[in-house]
Amino acid sequence: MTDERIDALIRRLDVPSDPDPAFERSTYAALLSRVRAARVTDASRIGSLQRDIRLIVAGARRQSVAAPLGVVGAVVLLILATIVAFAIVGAMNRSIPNGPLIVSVRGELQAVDTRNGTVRNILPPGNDTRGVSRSPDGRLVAFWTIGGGSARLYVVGVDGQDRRELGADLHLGWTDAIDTWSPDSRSVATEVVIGIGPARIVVADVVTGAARIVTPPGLAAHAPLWSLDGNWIAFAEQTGAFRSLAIIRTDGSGMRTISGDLSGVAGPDTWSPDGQWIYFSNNDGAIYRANVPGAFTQRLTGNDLAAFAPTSSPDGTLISFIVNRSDHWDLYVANSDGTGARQLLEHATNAGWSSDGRYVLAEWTPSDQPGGLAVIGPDGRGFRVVLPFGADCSSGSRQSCTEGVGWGQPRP
Amino acid sequence: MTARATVSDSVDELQRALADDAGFESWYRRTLPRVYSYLVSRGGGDVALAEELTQQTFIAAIDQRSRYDGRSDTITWLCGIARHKLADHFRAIERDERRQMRMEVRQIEFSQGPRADLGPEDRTMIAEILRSLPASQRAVLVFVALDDLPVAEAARLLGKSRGATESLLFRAREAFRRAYVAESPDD
Repeated sequence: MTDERIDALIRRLDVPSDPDPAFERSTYAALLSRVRAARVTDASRIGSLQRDIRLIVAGARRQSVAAPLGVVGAVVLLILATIVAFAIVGAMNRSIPNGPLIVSVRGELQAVDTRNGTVRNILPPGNDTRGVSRSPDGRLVAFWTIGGGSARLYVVGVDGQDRRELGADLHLGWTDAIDTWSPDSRSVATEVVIGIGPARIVVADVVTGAARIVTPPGLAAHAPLWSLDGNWIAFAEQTGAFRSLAIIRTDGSGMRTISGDLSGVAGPDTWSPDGQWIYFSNNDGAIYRANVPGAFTQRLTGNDLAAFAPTSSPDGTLISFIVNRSDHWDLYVANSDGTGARQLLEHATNAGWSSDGRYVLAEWTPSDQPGGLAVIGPDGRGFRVVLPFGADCSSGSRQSCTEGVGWGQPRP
Repeated sequence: MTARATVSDSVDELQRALADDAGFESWYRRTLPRVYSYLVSRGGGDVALAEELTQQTFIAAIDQRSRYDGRSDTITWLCGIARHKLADHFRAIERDERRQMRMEVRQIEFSQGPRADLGPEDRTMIAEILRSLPASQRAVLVFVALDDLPVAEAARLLGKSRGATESLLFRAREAFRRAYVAESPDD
């Protein structure tokens, strides 16, 4: 048998194979968080510049195969690329590429283009929507309606099409908690009551509408938050007056407490991008982070600030949170270890970060004007109202005129 | 289409794939089966290994996206990364085999005999034979016979000299030949 015959036999192995669908799904979910983190990096000035230089250098190298370009030509191209890159960065700074911002204003479900402030209705009037959240891929909206003595959870496309009810057979009762989407935008986790039992965490498939209970019977579970790898849900577990932070796999297995003996946990607010930490506040007005593998906590704010509702920036370097000023809230930002805390915006609450990490979304309610939903950069620049509130919102009777905000972001 | 336009289009393809979730999903669904197939066939049909290396390949691709220069399409680029992951795997296995060889020589002699139920040209049998070879021999056959790489390129991937790789390839073909003839004496 010749060497060629041996090689030909081995080449017969080269046939297409289909990966297992479960592997395909789990790998997709795991990669999605990395892609999103990469997107944040690439949106930065340095990332954009690197990308464009790479393109020019690759082009010059390719060109040299046919006709030698020379070092001078490559340098000229590099200079041109740098100019183009800065022009692109300048253009990017004028827009917010984070998909539509979904709001419920007086029960009307609306999509807001944050680049130009245009608003369109997603559903016809009269739906009385609440508890709005948007899928990370920007395609779907989850919301609740309350009517006729019962609550219903729905999902609908951002174009208003393909509305369907989730978990209809479980007769879910809404608890006013914020729903959380799986990173692959295929499932929603929500806190509900079913019958007369304690609050439970339920996961619903947005395609089939089927829902299943994740947390154990008899355990009061609040404020679910999906991990970025899609495998875990963090939540606040309550035993009597003791409220701690726990995680559980999405199939209901592997539940464990990760906040040590700390009590009074309000609920998990964000996972760090690497999945190592969960940021949260407790009822005494201090911000903590819990180490997921180590199951210990670190306090990040001191006694000088009554701080609540932290959210991590998508790249994990910063946190935003709010500080209680007796008659109003102020929005703060700090490094992810709690150092360098500084006030970002007065009279504002924290609605989480934009997907690209360039803005914090705030419900801004100053005392002398109606205010609105606003974005502001973590360096204090770029403040802009993207959805003005109506005049009745300045009466002081309500903090805001929205019944929910969804931008695909974790929010406290 | 000019060479520059081709390079630019390829880079654009990757940028579009990473620009939003929908683009990524579409790109992922298109490229995953190709990368997976590449690794299953070269890993001797070992599904668990192929899945592990496929994940590693995509993670490396995302982390090293700035290195993609558009001179090949993204599937070729991904398979290039997968090839390096496979080479890393073979090198790790080879180290383990060297360690175990001294301890388990008797067990190897009593390993299971030839499978008579397989036809002479059955892919499963070929994969089995390939899998039975030492990792270094398997690796050189995969890269030279399956990937059609020059010996010098296979040597670079395996971290060996060209002479050592040629010698390894000779031994690998001999081992494959012996095993194949033993499994299908009529061939």
